[in-house]
Amino acid sequence: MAWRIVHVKEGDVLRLRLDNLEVMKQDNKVFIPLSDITMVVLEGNRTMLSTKLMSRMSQNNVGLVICDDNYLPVGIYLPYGQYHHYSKRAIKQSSWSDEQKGIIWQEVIRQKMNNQLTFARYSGVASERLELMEDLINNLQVGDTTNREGHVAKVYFDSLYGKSFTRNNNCLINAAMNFGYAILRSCMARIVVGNGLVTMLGIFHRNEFNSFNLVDDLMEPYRPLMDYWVNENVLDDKEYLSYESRLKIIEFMNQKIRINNKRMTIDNSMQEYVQSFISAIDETDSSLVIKIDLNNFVGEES
Amino acid sequence: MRMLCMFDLPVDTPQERRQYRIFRKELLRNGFTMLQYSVYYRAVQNRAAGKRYETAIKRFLPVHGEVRLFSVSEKQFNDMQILVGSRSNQETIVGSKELVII
Repeated sequence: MAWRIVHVKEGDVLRLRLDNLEVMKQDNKVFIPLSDITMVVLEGNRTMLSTKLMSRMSQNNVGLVICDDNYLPVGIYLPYGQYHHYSKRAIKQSSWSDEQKGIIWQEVIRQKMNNQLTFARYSGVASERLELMEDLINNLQVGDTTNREGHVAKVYFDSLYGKSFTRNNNCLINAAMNFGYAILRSCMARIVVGNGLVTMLGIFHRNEFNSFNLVDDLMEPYRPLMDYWVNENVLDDKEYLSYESRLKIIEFMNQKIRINNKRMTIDNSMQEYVQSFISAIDETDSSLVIKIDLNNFVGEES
Repeated sequence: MRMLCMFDLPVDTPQERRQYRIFRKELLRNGFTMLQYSVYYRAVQNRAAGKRYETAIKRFLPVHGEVRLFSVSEKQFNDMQILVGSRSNQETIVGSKELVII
C-alpha cells in the first residue's frame, strides 16, 4: 500500500522516469517511486509536468492537488475508471434508497458530532455547553432530518472560538481549517474514486454544483480530528498560515490512529472506512461502518 | 526497512550487456535507487511489502552473474558509517520519509 505524500514547493519540471516521479529543481534531480505515493501537493507557479506522468499517476491511483497563490488547494486531479468494477458499483450506488442513505448518514454524522463533543471536552468547554451538545446528539434522527448537525456545529464553534466567530472570518484559525479540510477532502476523494464510487452522488449532500457530494459526506468524522490537530500544532502567535504550518497540516495524513485495535495511518484508516461504508450501505447495516474516534487519535501520534 | 540489491553481472557478450541493461532498468522501475555502482536500495514499509519486490525481481533475473538481495531495518541502515564521501541528495531528501518535501 502506498504511504508517501510528496509536497513540491517550487519544482521546475515533474516527469516520469521508469515508473518514478522525477522532480527537477535547478540542477538537482530527485526520484520517488510512484507506487509509494498517495498524494502529490503542488505549490508555486512555475512547475511544469508531463502528460505521461499524469497518466501514470492515474494508473497508480495517485491524487494530485494544485494550490493557488495563497497556497490554498484549488484543484484535484483524480484517476478515472481505474477500479475494475466501476460501472457495477456506479449502478448500485445510483440505486441506493433514501432509507439506506438515511441510516448510514445518521451513523456518519453521529461519529462527527461525537468527535466534536470529545474535542470540545478536551479543550475545557463549560459543562453546560457540553450537555447541550450531548442532548442534541441524543435527538439525532435517521437522515438527520432535524439538522442536529448544524445545531451542534454552532454550539461547538461558539464554545471553542467565541460567539463572534464565524467560518467566514478572515483569520488564522479559518485559514488553517480551510487548508486542513481541503487536504482531507483531496485524500478522501482519491480513496472514494479508488473504490469505484461516483463522487457526485452523495448520501446527504446534494448540491447540484458540487461534484464531490459523497466525499463531503464521508469526510465528516475526520473534521474534528483535523480541528484537534490544527489546534495542537498550528495555532500559535503567528497571524498567517506559514509554510511550516501548511506542512504540519499535511503531516496529519501520516499520523497514527487506532481502528479496531489496529494502529494505522489516517490515510489508511480512510481506506478501511470507505470500504466499511460500502458494505454498510449495501447491507443497510450502519453498525458495519468502522469507528473513527478522536479518542483513538489523541495520544497515538508518533 | 530497506531492501538492498547487489549484483555483479558479466558484460562480455551483447546478450549479457542486454540482460544487464534490462535488469538495471527493471530495478529502477520497481523503485530501487542506486546507492553505489551495483548496489541499489528501496525503502519498504514492512516485510510483507518487501516480499512483493522480491517476487518482482525474480521475474527479471539475468542468467549469469551474481545477484544478492537482503533487508535491513531503518535503524541499521541509518547507522551505516560513511567513511569517505557523503550522503547523496536523493538519500537526504527522499530516504524513507512519509512526507517528502521538495
